[in-house]
Amino acid sequence: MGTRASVDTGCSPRRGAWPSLTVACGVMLALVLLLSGCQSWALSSGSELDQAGRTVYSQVQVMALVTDTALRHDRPATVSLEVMLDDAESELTDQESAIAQIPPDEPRRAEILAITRVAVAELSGLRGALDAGDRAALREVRGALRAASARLTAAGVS
Amino acid sequence: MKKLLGLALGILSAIGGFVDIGDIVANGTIGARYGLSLVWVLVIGVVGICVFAEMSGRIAAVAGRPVYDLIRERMGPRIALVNLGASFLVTLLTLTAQIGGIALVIELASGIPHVVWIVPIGLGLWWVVWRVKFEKMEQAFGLSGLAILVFGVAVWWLDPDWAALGTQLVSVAPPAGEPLPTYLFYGVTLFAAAMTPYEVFFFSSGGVEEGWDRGMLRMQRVNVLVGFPLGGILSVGIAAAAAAALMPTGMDVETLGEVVLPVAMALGLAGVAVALFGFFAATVGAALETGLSCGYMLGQYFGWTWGKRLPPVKATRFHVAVAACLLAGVLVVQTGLDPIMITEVSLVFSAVALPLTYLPVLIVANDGDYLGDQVNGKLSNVLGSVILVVVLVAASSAVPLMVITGMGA
Repeated sequence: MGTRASVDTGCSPRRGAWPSLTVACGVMLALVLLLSGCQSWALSSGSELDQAGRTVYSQVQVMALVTDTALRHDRPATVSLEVMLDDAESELTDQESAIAQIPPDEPRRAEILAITRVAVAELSGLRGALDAGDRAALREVRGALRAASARLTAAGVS
Repeated sequence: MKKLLGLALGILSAIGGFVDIGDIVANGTIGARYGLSLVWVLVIGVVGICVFAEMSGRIAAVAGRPVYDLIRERMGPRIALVNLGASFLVTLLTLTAQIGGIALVIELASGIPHVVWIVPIGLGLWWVVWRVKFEKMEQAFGLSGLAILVFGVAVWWLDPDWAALGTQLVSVAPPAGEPLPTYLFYGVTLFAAAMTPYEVFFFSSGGVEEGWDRGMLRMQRVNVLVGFPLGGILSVGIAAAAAAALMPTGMDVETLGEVVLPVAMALGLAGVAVALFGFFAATVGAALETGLSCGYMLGQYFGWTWGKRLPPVKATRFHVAVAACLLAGVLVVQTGLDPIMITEVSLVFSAVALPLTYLPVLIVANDGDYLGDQVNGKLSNVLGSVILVVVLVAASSAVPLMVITGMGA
């Protein structure tokens, strides 16, 4: 016992030092996380317009995939696809209001707002085409959605 | 032959019962954003749940008492109360998420808004808890959950870039341009989804309800060690389908419908029907498990007579507690809160509560007074300790990551 107590290599911290070391490591870890987190937030979240634009982009993709699905299958799970379109509509309407509140001098605002309105307008056409199984109308909507998606990408949103 | 059939049923139920709304949302969201590059986290989570479920099953079989009962006795009422508080609240939140998930599944099938379905769902769950036998309930919902395999079929049908999927599978870093903290945040939620605390309480309490003994140790081990990993494959199927169909578009998954979209693209109405059936079974099964787990925790801590096998007149407080928890979950979802948001929050807080669930299990599993010659061996202790370190890292980083990444924005 005594031997164990007398051994001191000089590099191992005293017993009482462990809690302090643990706290210090914890604080350092928290700082690193906080810093990288802030960087992450800046990278991932962007401005309000960027966030809204990304949501619009995402919903345009959902609409495009729903259109593809309806074109691919004779029995495309219409009810479920319509629920997806309801969700997309709710999301797009929210974003339209959010973008409309952003000051008009913000660059790209007008373009992203216009694309959002196009997407909302295409929704009713898509719903009707889906219900009727009208492939020609579905192809037309798909074309419009592709154009909207390309415009969003050109506006720096994707 | 009967034994073999029982074993097969147990394994199949464990496979189907592995997935819940947390796994569905986490895997769909992550698959669309990161492809399969977080599967390594799922692997660690599945190893973790296997290790601790095996321990808790062994405790139930050898001691004849559920884990929570022994935790209270071994750690004392005060520490057990901390454990109870954290685990109970997280399980209640998880139950709420499952109720919301069931409502979303029915909305996708019927087109009628999910809020309309919440009260009938609460009543239906309460009826099942009251009237349906434990084994029947486990097997019916576990086996039906296997329908989620349709996501694997959808991946095959979509014929994605297999080489790219393979590359993602062996990757342990975020894709180019994706910030590391956000990747880690999703990693933590995926880990929490695989190791949700209620699973251990339900598994051990279920073992006592089914009267496990030493003779059934091997069977319960096989159930866990084969069933849970195969259940993990169902989760990977959901992520792979999202990776194949949604990731190339650059979209984010924010609704349950978007998780089902790859199956709709690949297999049309038939595929969606099977997927929704699987989701329904998985979420109903998990709602029953979480509801019962709430009752088990309270009953075992306060020393009530508990058990689903006992009629309400003999275990009144237990049945009232389960019904009250179901009611609480129903009321929360009925307020109109987004069930997907509830699920995401429940995963973060599950991660926070993980150490409080799993550390006591490890301690009890090493106590010779309860387990005699069946205490943890070296392998169980090494694996348990390693997983516990991961659990501590996940728990301590969950809330900071949630805050600084804006909930994974």
